[in-house]
Amino acid sequence: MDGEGTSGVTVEFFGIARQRAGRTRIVVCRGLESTRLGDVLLAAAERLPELAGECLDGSRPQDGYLANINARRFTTDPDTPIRAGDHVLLLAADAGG
Amino acid sequence: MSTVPGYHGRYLRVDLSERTSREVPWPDGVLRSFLGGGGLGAWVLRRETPDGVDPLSPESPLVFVFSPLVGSPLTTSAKFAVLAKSPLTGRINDSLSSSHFAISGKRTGYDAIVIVGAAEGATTLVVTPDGVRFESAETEWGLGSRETGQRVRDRLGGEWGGFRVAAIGPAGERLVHFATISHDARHAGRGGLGAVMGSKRLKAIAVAGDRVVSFADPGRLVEISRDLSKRSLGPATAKYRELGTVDNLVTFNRLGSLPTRNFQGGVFAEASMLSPESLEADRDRTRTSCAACTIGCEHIFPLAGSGQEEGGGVRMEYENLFALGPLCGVSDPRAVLAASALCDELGLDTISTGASIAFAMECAERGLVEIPGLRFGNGDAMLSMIDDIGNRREWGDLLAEGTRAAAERIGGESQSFAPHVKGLEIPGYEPRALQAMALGFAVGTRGADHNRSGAYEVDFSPEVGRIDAEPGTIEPVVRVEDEAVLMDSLILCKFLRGVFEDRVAGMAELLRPVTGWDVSPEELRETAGRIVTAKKAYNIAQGWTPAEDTLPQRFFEEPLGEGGSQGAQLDPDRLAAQIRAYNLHRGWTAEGYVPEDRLVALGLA
Repeated sequence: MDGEGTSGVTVEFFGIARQRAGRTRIVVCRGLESTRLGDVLLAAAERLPELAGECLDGSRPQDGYLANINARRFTTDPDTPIRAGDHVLLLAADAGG
Repeated sequence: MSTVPGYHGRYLRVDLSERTSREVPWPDGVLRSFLGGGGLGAWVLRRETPDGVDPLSPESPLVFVFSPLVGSPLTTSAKFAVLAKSPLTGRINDSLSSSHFAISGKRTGYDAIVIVGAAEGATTLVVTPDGVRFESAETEWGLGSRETGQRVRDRLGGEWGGFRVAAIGPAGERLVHFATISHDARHAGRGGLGAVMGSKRLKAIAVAGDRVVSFADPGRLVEISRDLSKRSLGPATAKYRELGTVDNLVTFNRLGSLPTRNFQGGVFAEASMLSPESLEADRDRTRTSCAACTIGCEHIFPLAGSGQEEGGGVRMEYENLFALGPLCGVSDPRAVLAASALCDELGLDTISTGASIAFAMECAERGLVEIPGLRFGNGDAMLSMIDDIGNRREWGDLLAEGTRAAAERIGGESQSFAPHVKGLEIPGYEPRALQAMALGFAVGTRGADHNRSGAYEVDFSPEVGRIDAEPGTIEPVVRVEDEAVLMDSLILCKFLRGVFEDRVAGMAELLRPVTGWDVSPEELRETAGRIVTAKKAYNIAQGWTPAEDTLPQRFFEEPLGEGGSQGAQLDPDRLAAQIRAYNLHRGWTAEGYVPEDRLVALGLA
């Protein structure tokens, strides 16, 4: 699957992030064995400038947004270690239904 | 009569049996101590409810409560609370809703309307500043709530500038234990307050008037109202405005936290068929707002012939989508939309309806009951069962009592997977995948509930791990519950949460120009603790025991099988320790009883 193994980190978009990105996912940081969340988000913003400002604030999720690593733990820390093959989910923090 | 700005200073007490009413002034200090909405309602309900009362008996009070912000220019403030002892849970129940009913209700000149007794025949209660009238509703009995409301409004005409009506549908008349009270196509949905209204043979309540309250600092109030409206249109509410809460479904599915097939799993393979895009495949959805709201989160999806809106359409939110879709294994968008429309017409809580049917589907698949055709994924059978529940036919008559009562009758292992806490069916937050929410469900005074606790916010944060909720979960769970109880008492829409940098400080800032009270965030936090404790004390008086504060056995024994929460399950010892810690944090005993000195300290003795 695209984005697995050493072929990069998959960034998945949900909610408003998906609306702004205009797609469900992209693959960034190809060729790297490991990196940081901040670098993943910067790479995503470079590819999809529509995310900057509203969903991303530089190397962090914007206020009201979260990153989630491999559908398990949430974080906003740009220093969170990310490995090739990981999936970073970008979504709104407000899950009210 | 001198009173606090923002309030009328009294409530109206109506006795349907005696066909009388009287005004009751609030005792000194009660308004500041309990604010309005769910808080003030808890105070009234404690005062008016006999211990151990049957929720469907004439002695059981039904309370409509407005709040200090109603009638102000603050966005999302046109809300009211309805409270009673729930026939579903036997515990306190407060259901909140938004519509012009709140504004017109407060214009009657009362901060709350308390209804006791039972009418001899089907009745519409008419409340205006001139007093109350008891009108026959025999010609509306049997009709849906929407048609009832329209008929009553037409009959009463333009007196006082026109009436607003809250009514029950056939489910409320037949005492379905999760029947709703409906108004302006919206619903006070959870806990079966429509059945309480039906037990009083009260088909509708019509309100109108011209009594407006003063505000302490009108200039400042206008200023902060403009600012709040502006912020309500910003990025913090974009999700609700642009996508609606239905968008949660896809996200929750990816996280493995989407309750599926009666909580047998957290992933629904056909979730994409119920995405917002799929729901509006035939025609674009439209969007609307509650009264006096700038957010506009209501997304109305097309359904030919539904008649719910001009041109046909169904209000869809995440909760009715999950409950009538994945929870029942149904992926046909038309079936889900039709089911939601049918629940609205009959006056049924969609969460409890979907959960009751999903529970019956699992019972049928396990061979515990024989219900032809009722299997996961069968949308037609689901629709048929909704009609049977609303009209109390065949198996629908049993399911109309809720999953706890149904499991007691069906027996076998069914009690281990009946999806409820304290009798209230679990909403669309999978407890094994969201374990702070699991704690919130367990300790909730209303039962399994995402609106009074809101602990899913803690799960959707870096604060604690959602699948292995560590020590440290308690303080944030209490914090978000306190914030919710304040929003439910002022009352403000919770979708405004994101616009406040400090929610409690923000709410204090809104309350000051309304009431003139120099209220601090610290005082509001104490108020929140008082209201939560008042609800707890109510439940204790009605027979609560510590054994109720738990979740169904399934969540402790069956790990989630796939997806983002694979392997997750609840640890009974850890949850029990968290409950003890929560109780102590509240100033109660470890078991959850409220010591007398705590009641005294909070003014609840």
